[in-house]
Amino acid sequence: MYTTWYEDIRADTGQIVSSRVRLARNLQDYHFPRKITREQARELVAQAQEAAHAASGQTGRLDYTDVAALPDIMKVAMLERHIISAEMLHRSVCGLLATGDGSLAIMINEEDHIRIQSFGTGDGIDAAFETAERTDNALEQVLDYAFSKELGYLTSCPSNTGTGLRASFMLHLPLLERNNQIRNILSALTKFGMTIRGVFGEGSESLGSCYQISNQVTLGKSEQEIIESLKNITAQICEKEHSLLHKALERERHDILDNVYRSHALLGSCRRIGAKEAMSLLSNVRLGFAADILDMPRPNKSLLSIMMNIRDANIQIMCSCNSTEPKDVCRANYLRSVFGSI
Amino acid sequence: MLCDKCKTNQASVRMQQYLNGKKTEMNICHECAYSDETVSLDNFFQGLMGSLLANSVKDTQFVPIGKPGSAINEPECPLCTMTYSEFKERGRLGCGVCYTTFRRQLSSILNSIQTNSEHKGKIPLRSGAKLNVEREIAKLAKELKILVEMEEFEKAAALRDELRGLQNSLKPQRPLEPEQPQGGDDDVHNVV
Repeated sequence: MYTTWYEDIRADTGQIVSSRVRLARNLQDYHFPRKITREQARELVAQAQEAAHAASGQTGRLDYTDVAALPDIMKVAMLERHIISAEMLHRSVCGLLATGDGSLAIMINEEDHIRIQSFGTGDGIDAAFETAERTDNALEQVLDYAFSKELGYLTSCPSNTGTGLRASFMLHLPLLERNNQIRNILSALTKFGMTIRGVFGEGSESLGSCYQISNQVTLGKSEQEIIESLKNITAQICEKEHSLLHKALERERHDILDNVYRSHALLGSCRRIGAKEAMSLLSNVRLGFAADILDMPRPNKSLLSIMMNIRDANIQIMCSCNSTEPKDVCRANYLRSVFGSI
Repeated sequence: MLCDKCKTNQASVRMQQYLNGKKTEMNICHECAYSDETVSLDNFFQGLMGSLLANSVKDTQFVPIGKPGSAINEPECPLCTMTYSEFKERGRLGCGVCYTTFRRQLSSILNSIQTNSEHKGKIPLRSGAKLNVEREIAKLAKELKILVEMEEFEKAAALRDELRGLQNSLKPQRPLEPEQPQGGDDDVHNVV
């Protein structure tokens, strides 16, 4: 049993690391967050909490966190885990309603009044959508959404209007990345109303060869059409990655094995390591486990959760209780505890 | 650009004041301009009519912000006071009414980023119950047309009855009056 959804080791199988669905909704009686007053925002948060309480029969228990009141480092740590968005870092009134394992999280007064997020490991996007929709239906029994027959759910940014749906897969694509194919994928995806971007890292930097592929078009297609298109395109990308791996293992098996085993050994014995290098090593190890070429004991939690744990704010929080060591040393200590002997 | 006085609304005019030969300037919104005790309504309106007229006001002048006349002619959302310039600057709308206020401008944006400008997805179950029925009626009507073209009259008749039921459910309920005879108001009657 895992404490959070992303610790599940099923995230380490195949190219699809995880699935995510997000529904953007606004209430018709309030200005959108760009224009909302502090007083209105407080009312909105209270109303959303009440609605969530009423919906708990369908959603399970949702605990409220007053995100605005948290210390900055806690907010950044949540951002690193993709539980909240960068938009919420500087909001004076905002909150999060989430299930205990974090697989369902509702951001309140973010870019939109309500953003329902549902997560799952692997290719569980249908289950994630089902959860998000069930939650949406339950909240809507109490809340009056801003909706137009012509434009659908009205959102702060017109790029989300319509379904308000952003469906995405997190993919691990080390071979496509090594073969400089990500840019080509991006230009192909754009034609289908989709996009790809790095999951970890800032700007154009992508750490750990993890990419998010998601729909950009939200208007003029149904939710099912959007998800089916995403699944079809993703299957093709995964097939391409698989084929490149197969060829690479035929041509340079020893090099790949050497790289995977060296990475595992380094993670188990490092004494000081930066986030960038650690992400690269973790990516190699993930490839080893996913391709079944690394004959070593698996960590008891997913590599996805380890990738999240070693990010700056998270490692700082994890180590601050018992250490005054620099972050890179704390990161190495943590990684040794997972992969090797202390 | 936000109003220099209230820091909340979008500034729409530049107020220029001359005191002892010294010129001061503030970018303010219509509301703050109205509430300024040093300004009479007359010269405020004169100012809004354009910079030429504004120049004739001696102590306080109002000059539209941006291109001559652009700011005062720019539509402003009646609910949240957002202007289109503000939206372009921030990329976020202020409320649901903004979609109606800026319909023309947003339509070109939506056409460029979305594949279609008409919503085909989910409709809220409770508040959109009527819309859901209307959508179902449109769907059944299409199916009915196909069945008739295929001369599947038995199935078409069943579908017509279903369609009729849905159409009736949209009509206002008048329990005290006898049921009105139907006819002539839809194409379904003439199908079989």
